[in-house]
Amino acid sequence: MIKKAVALLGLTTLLVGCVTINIYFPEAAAERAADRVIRDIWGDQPEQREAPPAEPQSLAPHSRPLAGRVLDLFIAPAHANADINVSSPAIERLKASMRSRHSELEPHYASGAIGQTRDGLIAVRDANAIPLRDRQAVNRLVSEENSDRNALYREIAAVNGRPEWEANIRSTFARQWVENLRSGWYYQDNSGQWQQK
Amino acid sequence: MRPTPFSLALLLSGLLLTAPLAAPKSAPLSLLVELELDLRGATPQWAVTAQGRGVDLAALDGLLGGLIEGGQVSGRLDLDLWLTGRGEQLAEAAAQMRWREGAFSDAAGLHAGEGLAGALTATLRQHADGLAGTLQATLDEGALYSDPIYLEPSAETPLALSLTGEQRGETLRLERIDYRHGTALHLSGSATIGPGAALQTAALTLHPGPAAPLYQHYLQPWLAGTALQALELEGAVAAQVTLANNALRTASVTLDDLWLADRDGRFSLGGADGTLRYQQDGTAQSALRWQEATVWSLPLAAAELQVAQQGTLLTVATPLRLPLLDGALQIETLRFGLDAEGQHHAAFAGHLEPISMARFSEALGWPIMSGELGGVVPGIELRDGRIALAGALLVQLFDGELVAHNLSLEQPFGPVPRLRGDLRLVNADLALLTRQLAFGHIEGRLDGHIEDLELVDWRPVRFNARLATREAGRRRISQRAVDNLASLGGGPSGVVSRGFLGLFETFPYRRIGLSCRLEHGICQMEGVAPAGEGYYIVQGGLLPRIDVIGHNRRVDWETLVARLATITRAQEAVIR
Repeated sequence: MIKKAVALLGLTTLLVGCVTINIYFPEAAAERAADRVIRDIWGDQPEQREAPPAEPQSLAPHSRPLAGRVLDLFIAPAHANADINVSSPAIERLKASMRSRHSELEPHYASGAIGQTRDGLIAVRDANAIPLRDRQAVNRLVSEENSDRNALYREIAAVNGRPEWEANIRSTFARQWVENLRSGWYYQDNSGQWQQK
Repeated sequence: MRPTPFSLALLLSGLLLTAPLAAPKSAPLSLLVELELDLRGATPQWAVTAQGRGVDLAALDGLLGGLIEGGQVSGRLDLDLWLTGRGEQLAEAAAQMRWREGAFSDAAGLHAGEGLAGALTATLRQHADGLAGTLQATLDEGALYSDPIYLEPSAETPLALSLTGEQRGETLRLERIDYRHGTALHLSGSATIGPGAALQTAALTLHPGPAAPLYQHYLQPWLAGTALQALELEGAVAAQVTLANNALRTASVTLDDLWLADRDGRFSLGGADGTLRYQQDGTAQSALRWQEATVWSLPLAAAELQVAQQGTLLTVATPLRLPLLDGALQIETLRFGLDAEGQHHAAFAGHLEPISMARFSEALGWPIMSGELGGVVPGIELRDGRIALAGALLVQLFDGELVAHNLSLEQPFGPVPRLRGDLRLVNADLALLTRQLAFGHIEGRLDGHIEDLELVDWRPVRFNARLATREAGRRRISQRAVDNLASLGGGPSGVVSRGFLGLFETFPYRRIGLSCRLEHGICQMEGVAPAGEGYYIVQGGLLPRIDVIGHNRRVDWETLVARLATITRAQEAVIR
């Protein structure tokens, strides 16, 4: 359906000539992508691996009529933007780093010492819940996690060729971290107040 | 348990009144208080001594209505208090305390202690305009956390604070501040604190001491998440700062044979000496020498920097030559800092004295290449953690030239450094290249470009590359190179060597070329010309004519790299 619409749009473009196509931030796709990344890091559910993108899309441009070929050029980028790509060597590296850190952070999420902030990061919300000798180490974990999360948002925007999407991706992630939160863990609501899930 | 009432005994001798006041031992506050009152003068003089052993601090805290708002204090306190006064005025006071099993915490848990033991001695004296006093406090047991610093004082490394000061009106002058952390750190100085706890002036000296504990206990916690978060340190550091009106006025840091290395191996500095100075609204001269340094794995030889500070701008004295491998970075201009609008500003001009590519590629762990790296760098732009190079870097490579334009590096020491640039290769000698890469043997000259190159974490994620031979000069390709090109394109290997064509050692060719547009991990491949449904990678020349035709236009990049690695590895094993 969408493809048809885009194709129609492409055709219209061909006919009309100079028409700007605005591609808006694909919110639903970004949510799905964020969920995949979060589950991969938090290991909630069985890993949902992405289908490997390597297989050629059986494009045989030579055998198609000219109009079809030109149309393909329009469809290809638009189609690519309907999905959010979250696989790149850098993203894999960031995910691996966050995954290994998660086992250290998890008890502090559970104790309520650390919560998810409304800007897609984490913060210490109750230092008293952390044994004194661990407080410094937990601070370090929080800084490192936030540095990885910031890099992740920037990287996903970059991989999709849309650096200006970084803020959208961050706010999508901010919502999805909370969405995937286990019960008892804390998060900040829109007014910055801590809430328990 | 209800405390038994206090007992009170009065002793009258002349007009001197002595009143020992004792609470029973079982009460939470077991204090022995003695009051002495001299009513002989116009204004009565008095003296109070109080002694307590094992006083429950939590109960005392409750009695005093909470020493820390929203927090708590506990422990056992042995205390001796002595106060004298005249009328309503305190004349002199002295206190001695010993704290055991001590604990405290503020409401947020950002400042807290556990299992603390220590001692405190304080004196206080009235003078004409206010009070003067001294304080000595030590902690020699337990754990102390003051966000984000965590310390574990012990008998071997006690924490000791000593203060001498006086109060006049609303101003508190600390004439002497002295803080020691065992033998690891010694800080001393003075300060003036005005109304509203505003820091009016301060002068602090960090006495020369080992850099490692200073970093571990006091600096590292602030550096989490930065490039300096995991350093190995040796050597000594000293520092001096002065502050005025809550702002840094002057600062100097002296390094004495400092050795510093990033645990992730990104940079190191060895045998560093010198003094770095800063002056608010002024000019200051700094000097820094080092015996050796590395950036990534590139070694920089010994060098000396002279840096002039002017406001928020730092200018490095030039010309400066930084030896790098067998070449050097020659700097004509280097200036950086914040401009008047508070924006990052950097100016750089210099050039690279040729470095041999063999040494350069070896240092970075790349396949060994021949040629030289050099170039003129007319400018550098620094913004939001991004370094951009104006001008071109020139690499004399394989008897040709590789020119790098539009180079920029983002977050060089962040979790995912990103390098961008455009490369152009002109007239490289394929014979040299194939020999160096152990790829078989090809004779010819190669041109090409890699545009929109983007390396993330030093691995390519995007580029648009095209390499092709010139249709001129002697052009021959060995059967092994043909095999390798074929298997690079995904074809079977060893086709040529096994068949009839295996009789020929080399073949003439018309042109060889390959292009790859890398995006999302997929390399979109093309050759020098279309060949039916496929494309020519090698287009043969005279007889015996050989063509290599690619059919796979979309190749997984990782697979391609793996294939290339297999080929060069296999070739290295061949004894020539």
